Amino acid sequence: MVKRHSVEEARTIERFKDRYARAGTRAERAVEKAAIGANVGSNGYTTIEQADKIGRLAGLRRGMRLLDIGCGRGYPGLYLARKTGCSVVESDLPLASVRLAVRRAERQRTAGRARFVLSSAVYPPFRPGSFDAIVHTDVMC
Amino acid sequence: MLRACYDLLKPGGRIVLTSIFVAPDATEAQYRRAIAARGRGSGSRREITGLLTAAGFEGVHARDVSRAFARSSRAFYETASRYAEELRESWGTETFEDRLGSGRATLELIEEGVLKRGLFWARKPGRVSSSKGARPRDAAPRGSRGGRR
Repeated sequence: MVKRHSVEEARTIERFKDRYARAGTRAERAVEKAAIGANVGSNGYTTIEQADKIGRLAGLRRGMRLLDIGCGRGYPGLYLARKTGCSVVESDLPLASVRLAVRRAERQRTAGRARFVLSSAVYPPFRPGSFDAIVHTDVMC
Repeated sequence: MLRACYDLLKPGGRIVLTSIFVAPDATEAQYRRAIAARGRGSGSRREITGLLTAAGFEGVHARDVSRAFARSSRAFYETASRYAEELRESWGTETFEDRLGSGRATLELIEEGVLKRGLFWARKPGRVSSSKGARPRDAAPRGSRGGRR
């Protein structure tokens, strides 16, 4: 089945297409580390301290299932999976970003607890009651 | 979107989100600058807590994290400026100028108190149940064969 994107979804894909196509240079890692405090696949404003707080507020622990909506390159979902032992579904619209998240999961050895889905935040393709916790960082802005 | 999240959570499940928004007391001109810098936002902090409540969540909390937002924005802008040559080559001049311009405008708007960032959390009513023993495919997307690797 061919899924058509809404106008808003198509704009999001276009907006972030170039950003993820050439991600991961030395300069980008320097910018990320300065902005949030580590190199964890972030291109936003959620600091490591805030990610830790998000994990605590979500009550994450081993055996739980987390959905990270608008995951970009995999942050904070993969970081939280590594820290807490939970499993995670990483979801976003741009294919390039999800590919980077897959690579990050393989590098940090969380791939066994991570799944990746190309999906919008408005029409997530999951069964009701599938998750113990949901996080999204600045997806609504 | 929040209603969709509500449906996806188990009873007792939690949602935690951050959102950047325009201060409720911003002038029309400030609002237009914020939209130009960041795109359309989701409204004020009060609106987001209201949206969470309207979606059915309980125990809705909000915390202003605008100071950390300002620090991160300043660090982004200053470091990206320092690595301008490499980032131009990596992103292309147009994307670099766009992102740096947006970063500068964002920082100015935060420092003026026009742009805010909040951390929000809430819970779906009901008893928390353990995921232990649940089948792995319970969280698989509809129609998928359970992710890729």
